Amino acid sequence: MNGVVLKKTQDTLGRVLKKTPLTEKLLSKPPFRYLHDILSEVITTTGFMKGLYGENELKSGNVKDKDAKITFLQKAIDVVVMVSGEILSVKPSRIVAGHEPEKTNELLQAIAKCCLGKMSSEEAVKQVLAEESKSQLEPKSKAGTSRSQDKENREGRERHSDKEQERREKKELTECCGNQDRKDQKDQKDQKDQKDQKDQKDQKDPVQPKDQGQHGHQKRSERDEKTCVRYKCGLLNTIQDVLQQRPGWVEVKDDGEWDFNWCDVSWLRENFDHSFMEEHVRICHFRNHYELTWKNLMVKNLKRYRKILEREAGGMEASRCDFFPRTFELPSEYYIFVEEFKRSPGSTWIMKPVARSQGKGIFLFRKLKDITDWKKDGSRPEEQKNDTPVESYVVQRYIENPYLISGRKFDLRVYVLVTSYIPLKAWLYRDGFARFSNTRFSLCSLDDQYVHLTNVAVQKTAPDYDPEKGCKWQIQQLRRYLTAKHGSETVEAVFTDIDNIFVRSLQSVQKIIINDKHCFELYGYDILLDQNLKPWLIEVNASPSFTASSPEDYELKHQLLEDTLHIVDMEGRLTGKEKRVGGYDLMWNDGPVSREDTSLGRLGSSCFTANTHLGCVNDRKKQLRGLLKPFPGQKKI
Amino acid sequence: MDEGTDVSLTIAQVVLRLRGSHLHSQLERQAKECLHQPEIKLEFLKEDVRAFLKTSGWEKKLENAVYREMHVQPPPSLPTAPPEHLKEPLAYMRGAQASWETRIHKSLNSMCTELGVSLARKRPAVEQKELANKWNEMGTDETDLSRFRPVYAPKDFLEVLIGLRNSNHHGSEEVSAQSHWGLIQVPLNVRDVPQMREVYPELSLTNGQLGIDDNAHLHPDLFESKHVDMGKKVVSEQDSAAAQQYSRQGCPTGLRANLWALILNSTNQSQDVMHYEQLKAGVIQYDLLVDNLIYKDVKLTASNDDYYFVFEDFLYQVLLCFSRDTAVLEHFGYNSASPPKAFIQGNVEVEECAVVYPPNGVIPFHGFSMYVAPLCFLYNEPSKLYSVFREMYIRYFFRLHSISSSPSGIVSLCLQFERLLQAHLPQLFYHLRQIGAQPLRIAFKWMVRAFSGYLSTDQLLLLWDRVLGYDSLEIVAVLAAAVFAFRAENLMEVTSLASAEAVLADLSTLKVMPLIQIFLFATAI
Repeated sequence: MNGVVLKKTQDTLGRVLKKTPLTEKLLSKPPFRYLHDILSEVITTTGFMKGLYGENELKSGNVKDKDAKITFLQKAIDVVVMVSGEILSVKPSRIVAGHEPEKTNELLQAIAKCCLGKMSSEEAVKQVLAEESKSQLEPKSKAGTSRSQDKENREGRERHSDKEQERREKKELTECCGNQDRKDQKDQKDQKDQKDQKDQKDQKDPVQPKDQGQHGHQKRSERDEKTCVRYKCGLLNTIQDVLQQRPGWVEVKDDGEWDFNWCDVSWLRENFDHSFMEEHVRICHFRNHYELTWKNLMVKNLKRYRKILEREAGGMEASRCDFFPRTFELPSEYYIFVEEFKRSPGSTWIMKPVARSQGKGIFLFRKLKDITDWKKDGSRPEEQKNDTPVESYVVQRYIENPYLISGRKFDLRVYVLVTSYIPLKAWLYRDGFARFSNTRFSLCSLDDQYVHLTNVAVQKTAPDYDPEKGCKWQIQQLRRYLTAKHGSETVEAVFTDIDNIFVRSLQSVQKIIINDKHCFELYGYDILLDQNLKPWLIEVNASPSFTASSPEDYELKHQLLEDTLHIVDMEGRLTGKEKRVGGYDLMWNDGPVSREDTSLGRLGSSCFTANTHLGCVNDRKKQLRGLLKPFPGQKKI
Repeated sequence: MDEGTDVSLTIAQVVLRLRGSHLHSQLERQAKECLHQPEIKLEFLKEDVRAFLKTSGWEKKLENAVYREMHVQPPPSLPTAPPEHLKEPLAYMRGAQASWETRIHKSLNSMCTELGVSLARKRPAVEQKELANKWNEMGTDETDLSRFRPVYAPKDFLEVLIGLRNSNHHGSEEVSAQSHWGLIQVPLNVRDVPQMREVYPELSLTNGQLGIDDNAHLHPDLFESKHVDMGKKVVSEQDSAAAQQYSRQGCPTGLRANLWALILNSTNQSQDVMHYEQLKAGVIQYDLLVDNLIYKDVKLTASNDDYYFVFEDFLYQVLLCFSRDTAVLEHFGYNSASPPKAFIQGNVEVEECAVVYPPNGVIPFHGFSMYVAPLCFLYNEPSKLYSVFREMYIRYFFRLHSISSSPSGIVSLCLQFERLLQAHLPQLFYHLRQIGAQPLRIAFKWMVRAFSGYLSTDQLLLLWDRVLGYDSLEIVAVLAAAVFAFRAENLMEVTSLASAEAVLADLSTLKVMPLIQIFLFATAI
């Protein structure tokens, strides 16, 4: 008898039953009397299978002979099969004979699943009873019943199955990913881990169907309130999958109430101010996120922050903010820009619309004439001219000496999660990627915007773009490459500079962003390195693209979003004191966070090592296993 | 022959080879120049000059040069041995290599005729200028390569190796426990695990290893930082032999480029840069048929790689120059292969009109560019990249595609792999053999490329650290066997070659050093 199966029964059924003991000994060789007790308690406490048995049958003393026992069990099996849609191969005669304890356990698990999922057995009971009375009229009943029941079952299953089918497919999808993960794990010669993981998955299963029942139940019990998270999702990509696969999370359509909302910014604009949010509710943007994510406002805030620093802390400190190229807002700062432009003849500038993302509407120029043409504006469509006078642009000094790898330009995409602005609490994700431009870099071909923009969204439309290739390196690969070329000290310094960009840019808007405990935000930072390995902040995205360009990309984004949800922690599984959650390291918590483990070994030395690991090994699975309490209702092994 | 004459023979040979080299003239110039320095006294001239050369680092340079010569060309054990014995002592191997070459040349020639292209042509001036302009972005060129096909693929080569027989050796055809179950049926001496343990003591379980002991969970002070400090010292000492020894436990990422260059004595001096520029000029002047093969190969392999795609241009810059480098011809002195000859038009079969084609004598095959790709990770000046690659090629890589009895040669590696597997996982071997999935059919492609393109880059470099450190490709065969051992459980369940291949299709998640270490030192023998 497999201990795993037993344990699963204990875990699932244990949440339904209070009285009947679920000892290993009993479960591994369940006598009929014991099964009868279980079924009786299920009926009285949950109402599942209510009405299936008469008063008589519910007294175990009355069900004595073998046939009666078989009928008794067959009825239960039929109902469970109809309701759960599961295929149970267990035979009542074998149970009564004391055989097939594993299959009996499967039956018990299925019952538990139905109860926990709050599935209604009313229809099924009616049908089974109808069959029973019919079969009592016909003498040659038994075989006939089960056959016709089979048919019924199938129909019943089909009726149930729409939702379920969908869910199954999704589960399969998760399992596929799971398999891949497992393969990796295996390669780390950790057979045991692998087994654990599998067991964990087994544990997870019984929880899932709970979602299904809730659609039918308007009134949610106290207990449900705690274990399920109602979510709303305004995007159709990786995030959708992540939310759907999260155990105990249920999607809310249309105007239903929600606990968690992954909305796009336009939804936020229209609805945020009219919604009342309960204490526990979370939403994925801050109200005025654009202070950081619009290019013009970001620069404005950074410039102001720099001034304040200069006044309060001196030039040295202020110069730590010099990580953004010289930038002006158009049309409002047009004349200042022209002055600056004339001061640096021959330089290249780049024009970007302030609020568009993914490389839309960007162009480069070197002559003022190009921009006066733009100002006169032949290119804008007619209807736009009327409502908004001119779309705001920023004009930015173009970084003419980017760091090239084999002649190719690239930028970095890094993810930073902010869970609070006051106090500032920010997490840095270990993974990210370097996006290569498909063509080779040179300033001669100014019109060829593919060279200059490394946004994958732009790259995708390049004529020779090969989606298979993706043009990306994992940031770990880049870090190794740079280390191989420049040595580890230099590279550490570069990554410290990059950390500085995250922290300063967030600080520059700390007092401007409306802090709200309901909000969190996942930013996609775009960073460019120049030949001197100085990192430049290009922009910050509030809605970084989660559409995956390749399987690896999907995996990265999937994990990123999963870990984001771990930190947002709707389920209350964290203590709030963690410095690392999955692939995230706590970078700032109202002050810099130190990497404690190394300072342990170097006591006495005053050097501070920041708790950031961008581009380092991301062994999130292992870390998460040690960190997280299991999902509610899911037992930890 | 006693040891004394042996040594003096070696010395004589090295002296002969270094005489007239650039280093020789540099040393002479240094010695002359130092005469003007006040601390050189006439009465102790010899000692003082020596001391000067020592302190100024020139002695080290000479040592490294001697060390290189000793590695590249081992002296003949018998001074009277004919030169072909230096290439390959076994006649049947020489014969097999010769007929394999004939096949390749035929294939190349028929492609020429079929496509109506000449082996070489001088580019018109306009074309030369154009090529010079886009030297750094040759990958953007979209020429139609569909007509060209690789001259051969590793698979074809494997068939030849399987057919190898020693006519003096009669192997019984029946399968018994004693017989060899594998595909390679030639009697060569390869090491078993106990012998390997003696040869690879640095890899044993008690020694620190980069690739194992640099794991993030261990305290960085334990092994890694000590090892890194040691590495810095080795680099500052500029000692080839020390660097080689050091590399056996793995090179830290940040020091690897320097350490490898040191081991290979490729210290990118100005003459290397000059040499590279000359080769580049050669590429620009002449168009060769093999160029298309190179383009094709890069497009088929590196450009499709998730990681190496970035380096496409570097690969052309290295490989095109490589094909023109006549200095490579030198290695045919100890390579069982011989450079192919072409005849200048109209003078067929006239010996005087024969020229080596391609100029370096190496015809690239499918996957050739993967020998260069991992090096792009380490060097970004083309000339440096080039000189390191050339040295790697004439020391190691050529052995992976010529038929020889060398212990680093592909035949020995195949046999080594099969013997290890048969000895340690007989059940697995037997199972795979029964279902028609001979392990070598799967592992061969890994070994021909020394795993380049199959492992993740960091792991590949850790493997090549050991190749350089032990000056042998043997470890490649060990890893191949270790991979089978690692996935043995799944392999026991497969029932066809295709499913066995599927189990072993993705090696990118493997950690090579733990695999090798477990296979060599933690397996019961």
